[in-house]
Amino acid sequence: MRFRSQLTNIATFTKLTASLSSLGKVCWMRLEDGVVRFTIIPDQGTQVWAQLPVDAIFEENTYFLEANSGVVNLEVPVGALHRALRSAAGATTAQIRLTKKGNIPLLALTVLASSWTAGSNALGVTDADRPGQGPPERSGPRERETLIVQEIPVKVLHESAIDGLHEPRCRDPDVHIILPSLIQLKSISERFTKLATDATATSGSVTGLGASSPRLELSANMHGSLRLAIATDSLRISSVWTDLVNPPLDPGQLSQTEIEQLPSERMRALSDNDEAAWAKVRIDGKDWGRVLSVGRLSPKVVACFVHETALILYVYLPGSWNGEDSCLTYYINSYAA
Amino acid sequence: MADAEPIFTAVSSNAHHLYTSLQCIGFAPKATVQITSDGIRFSAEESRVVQGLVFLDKALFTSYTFNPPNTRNEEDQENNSYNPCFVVSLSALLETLKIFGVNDSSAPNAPNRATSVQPSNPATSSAFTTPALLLDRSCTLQYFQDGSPLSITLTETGVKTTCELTTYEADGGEMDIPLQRDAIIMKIIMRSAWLHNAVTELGATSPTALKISASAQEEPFLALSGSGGPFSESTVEFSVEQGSSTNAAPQPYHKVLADDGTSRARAKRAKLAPTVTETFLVSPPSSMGSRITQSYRFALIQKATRAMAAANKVSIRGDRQGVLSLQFMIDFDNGATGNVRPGGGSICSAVTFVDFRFVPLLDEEDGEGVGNLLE
Repeated sequence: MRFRSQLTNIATFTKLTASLSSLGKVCWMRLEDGVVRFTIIPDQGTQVWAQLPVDAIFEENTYFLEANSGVVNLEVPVGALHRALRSAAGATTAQIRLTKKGNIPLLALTVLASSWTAGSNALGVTDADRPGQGPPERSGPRERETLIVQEIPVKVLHESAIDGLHEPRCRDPDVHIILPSLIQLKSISERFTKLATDATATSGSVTGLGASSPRLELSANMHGSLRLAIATDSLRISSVWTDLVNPPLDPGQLSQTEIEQLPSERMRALSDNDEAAWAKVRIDGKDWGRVLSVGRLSPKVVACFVHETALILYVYLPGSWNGEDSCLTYYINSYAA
Repeated sequence: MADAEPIFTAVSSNAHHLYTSLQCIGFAPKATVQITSDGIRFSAEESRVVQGLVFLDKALFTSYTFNPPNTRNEEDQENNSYNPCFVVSLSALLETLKIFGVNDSSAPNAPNRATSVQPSNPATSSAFTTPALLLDRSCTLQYFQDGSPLSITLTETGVKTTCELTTYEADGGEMDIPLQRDAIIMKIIMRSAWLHNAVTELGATSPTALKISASAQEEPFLALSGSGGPFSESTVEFSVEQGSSTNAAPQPYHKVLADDGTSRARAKRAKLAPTVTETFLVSPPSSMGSRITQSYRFALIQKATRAMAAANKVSIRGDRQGVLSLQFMIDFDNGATGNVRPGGGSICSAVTFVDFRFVPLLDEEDGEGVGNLLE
């Protein structure tokens, strides 16, 4: 079993691991020919199923994979991977490969970085014992190459270990809508969460052990509106975005009659004043904030609302909007009222 | 509910002014709100020993409508006027106002004049904010009828946020800390930053009490000292600049105070006054001698720190009973935002006053006249 590749898009990879690491400690990384998948299934909270074409993060020419089944499945501590990648910021080249130290399998990240020294020679050593003898070309900063090797211990997963893992299935969504800027959505969501936390804190321990974070109510309709709301004893606050896009479904995949039978078309037929036109989910405020951290990749996000059941986010990385195969899918369960 | 004319509607194009003013009294979780035809008054207090008060003049708003209903309660008959009064969660209100402009790239509180001593006002505008982009924003405060929530609507491009703050009945005991305006014995006006720096400096040793000492006759003319902390006592003295007082023979300077503390600041400068003060009037009653000293709980004074940082000027007043009033003036008009306000809103300087009042610490020896203050 072998794997090695040059990294091509270190910044994207770093941001991706950063937002994945906020949702879970370990990540199932599945390397295939042409496709890389990252999956996070935490005990509680949001699941992420990401699928990227190899060339989104790896240099295709150097991507080398050898396994009996043609697939390498790894369990990666995603936080450690993220920290390792951070040292690759500004690197000239970076290579990742699967290796072994003793019995422990590792992902070794080899980073070659060059920097300018502040001193007059490459090591920054002053040669005070040879006054006046320094040749003129030795003064001034010099370029210095640094080689960094980061080793991330991983587990190689056997096929049997991942047989039971399946992407969640949901019924057809009631509403699908393109989310506004995630950065804005995140900052407003965080304020709401804070407002609700403060309010419960000041109103005393009436609920006692209910130490869970507040539930945000997120709803949307097929008329381009998205609503984020939260209510406590002391306030009721909601933000409404309008003029968003409900993306049309691909007519190549569904026939006209199939499209007409979708719940989203029934929702579209309802007037936007009608409360029934809103599909609603209740989500954990803190978890939602972590999900939205994917905003740093400045993606396009389509949110699919399954009324009172689940929220599914399809996160398309920039530059891959048309590429079917580069998508992060977030599955968020709705809490009961 | 929406059909009926609301009792009160105010629209501002700059929620930041509201936020800057209100966060000055953000030390308490709840605030009492009173709506009048001239503006809105927010007051917060703690244990009846410190009180903060912000009056948002209607000139701060682009539109301000107050329609007192005709049906009057018996309680309102004394003034023949109806001024709704209720309590809201101040922390929630502040957090809501912060949502406004939440995705501005530049930090609104970044000092825009780094070289200045003064912690500058939260930048109403700087090279990095483009006021033209703020035109489609508004912040609306509404109060429909007695008992309805206070609603705050923030509108920005594409997003509309509505917050309905539950209004609680004000407990009737809400009472201002009395400052005897006819018995003011000390009035000092200076740039607020000086006071802020001094209090911050003293706060480093975490004292329990702040002593204000002022004299019109001998140095130090004005000194603030912190005592009672785990460390030694520390004092900040506002000195007289050498050059200005070299050959000025020390002569006692007295002036009878006007009872309204307003803008007579630039009238005449006392010779025997710290350089930083614009007005320095100290006239202790004969029983006190020439020096006024009064102590306050340091932790209480620190509650006004945010106001000290935000304000341009402060007027420090003390009355015969030792009640301390810090009146802060926040001038919003040093930015360019006022000039581009849509709808020809008032370009006149938008000034807000924030008032703090403190009950003094009783001195064991000479507590006379102070003990009955709260009765």
